[in-house]
Amino acid sequence: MARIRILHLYSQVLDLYGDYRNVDAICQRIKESGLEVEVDRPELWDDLVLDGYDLVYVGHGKAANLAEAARALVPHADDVRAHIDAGQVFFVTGNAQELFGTSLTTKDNDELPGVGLFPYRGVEKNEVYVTDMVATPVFNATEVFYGFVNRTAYLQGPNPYPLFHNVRGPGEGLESKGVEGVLYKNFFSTWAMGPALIRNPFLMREVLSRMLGSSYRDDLDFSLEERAHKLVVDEMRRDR
Amino acid sequence: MGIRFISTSIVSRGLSRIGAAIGRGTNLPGEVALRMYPEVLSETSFPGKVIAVTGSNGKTTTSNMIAHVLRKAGYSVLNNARGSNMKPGIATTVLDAVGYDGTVDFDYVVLEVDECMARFVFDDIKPDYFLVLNLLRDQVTRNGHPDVVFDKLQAAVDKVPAATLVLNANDPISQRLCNAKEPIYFGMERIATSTSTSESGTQDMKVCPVCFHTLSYEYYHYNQLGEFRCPCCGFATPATQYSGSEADLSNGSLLINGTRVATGFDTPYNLFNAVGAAAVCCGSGAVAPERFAADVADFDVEKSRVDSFDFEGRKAMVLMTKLNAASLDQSISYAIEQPDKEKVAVLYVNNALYTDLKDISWLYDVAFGRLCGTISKVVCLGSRALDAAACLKVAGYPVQDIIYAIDVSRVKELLRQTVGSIYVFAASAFGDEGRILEELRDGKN
Repeated sequence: MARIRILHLYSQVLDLYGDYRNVDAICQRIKESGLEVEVDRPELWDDLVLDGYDLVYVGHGKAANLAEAARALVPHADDVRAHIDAGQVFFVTGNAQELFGTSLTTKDNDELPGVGLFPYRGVEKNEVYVTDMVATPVFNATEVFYGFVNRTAYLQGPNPYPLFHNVRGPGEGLESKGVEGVLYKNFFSTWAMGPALIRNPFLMREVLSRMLGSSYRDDLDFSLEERAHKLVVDEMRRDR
Repeated sequence: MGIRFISTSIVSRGLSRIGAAIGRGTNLPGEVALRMYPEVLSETSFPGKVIAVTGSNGKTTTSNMIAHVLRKAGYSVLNNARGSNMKPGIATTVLDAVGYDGTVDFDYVVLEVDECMARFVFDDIKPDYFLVLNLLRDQVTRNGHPDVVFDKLQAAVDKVPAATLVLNANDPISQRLCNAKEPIYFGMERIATSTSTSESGTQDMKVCPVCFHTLSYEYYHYNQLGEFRCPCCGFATPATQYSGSEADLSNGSLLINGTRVATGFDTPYNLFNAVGAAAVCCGSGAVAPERFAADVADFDVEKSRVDSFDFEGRKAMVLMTKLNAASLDQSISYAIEQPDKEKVAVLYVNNALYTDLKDISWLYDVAFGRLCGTISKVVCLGSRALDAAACLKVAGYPVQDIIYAIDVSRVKELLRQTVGSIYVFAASAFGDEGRILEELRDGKN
């Protein structure tokens, strides 16, 4: 039986708002597909090895923790960029997106370098901004994404590879231009945190299909999640 | 005192009495007063001691407990037992009691204060003692994560350099608050419900806040609360001046500094509250430990978060939980520890009232896996019932044992499909969490 490998990066410090359950849900779906799955969770001090992983997951974290994650990750920037350019699947939520831009500015105004894959930069404000968000994914214009954004930072600068168009919700930074998130090759990122993959079955399917390739099964039962998704999207439409 | 102060306090008091007569909230009078005269609180004087109480969980219970013990000891006490813990609500409480000379003539003023708003309250009211019970992931749609709240709380502490901080030694987050004075630490030793691993869905201090190495825990009480040490830099649970031990949850008693205290509480978090109250009451010199033990024994816990009743011959209990995972985790712990032969749960989750945000991310921080094998069915209700069901599914709870409906008025009908004692987890944050209790007791279906 094929074994799928997931790298949940710095999960000890990037662990806010339940979005680690996205990884649990991915694992459930992989098992339902008849495959084995293992998850490695390296800490800040461990060697970073990206080879052999079918998915790299990086979640949202407290600002102080994100700064430490940046210090740990950026020395491996060349390797990270090479793996993403080679098509490795990444799923990145919330402020962890900042890690992949040119820099991160902390609440104390320290500017830390990012991985430098994308031309935006992250700016920490230490003020809570929350919103519901609906948007259209670039890979399927018939779908509607629902997400919840809860952030204290924003991204500044250009976003040449948006994941979503027609964004309603986030208003500051580059999302004000109506685009949100990143889809670059197989690198996904979004401000929507928490169970974004569970609440958006179409996105879960997209990520699974890119991870599993020919082993992906499209007959998995998403009926409960789809009903929940339809309900929230309908509510958002009514609220307009 | 000037005419502006006097007229403002008269208006506030009048509005407060009208509000009390018609059963309305306590924010409006203070809000009006602060608009009429923004300096009204800073011009108020407190000849007695001011005790402020905050924290993510337990501040209402604990501030009322402190007020109860001080009153029993013969002191005159003003507290915002029925009031809001935001600045306008506190203004209402204070202006209800202020004299025309601007003096609040009580031995003690005990104020429950919202953790995010303390920095505004402390502009005008300077507490002598500031009890911080804990800082947990709470109401993320309002507060964000605990570091954000910590910064706001430290900003409050910075405004009261003369206050004595009373801090929970077992909480690696809030115990780091500091001012120039030596704090009083309270804590709790290992008790029967302590665990060697965190059973909560999350805990917010997995790594040392100083050097970011993994924190090592001797034991956990719940979430990040426990006895901890960083093996790298030595950051650790500080020594306590007030310590709970040998807790007996069957009768709600524990030793506090060697004195047996019968609290009547049967949950670890409420025992923590009692130790925190003891640290304030005894640490301030107001009462001796023996007196605290005697007086806290008949404190009647505020019942609005726990309500027991009979549902068609079945035991039923509504546990109001805040929109935070720690609160719901503790309610779940309580339910699964009960000795009933068979149990079912109701999970009532709505959009946040006022904002209507559809977030349920906090549910994913709850350790729902513990319901497997202990709760035979879960009925999900409310506007986010389907999302709650999906959350249970990810936690490994059998899908065939989940019943869901958006319409809360179906609760009776759905519960009739189940057997066993009923534990209702009503998630609240200014929502209509009380609705499910009304439906169960009075609903027509």
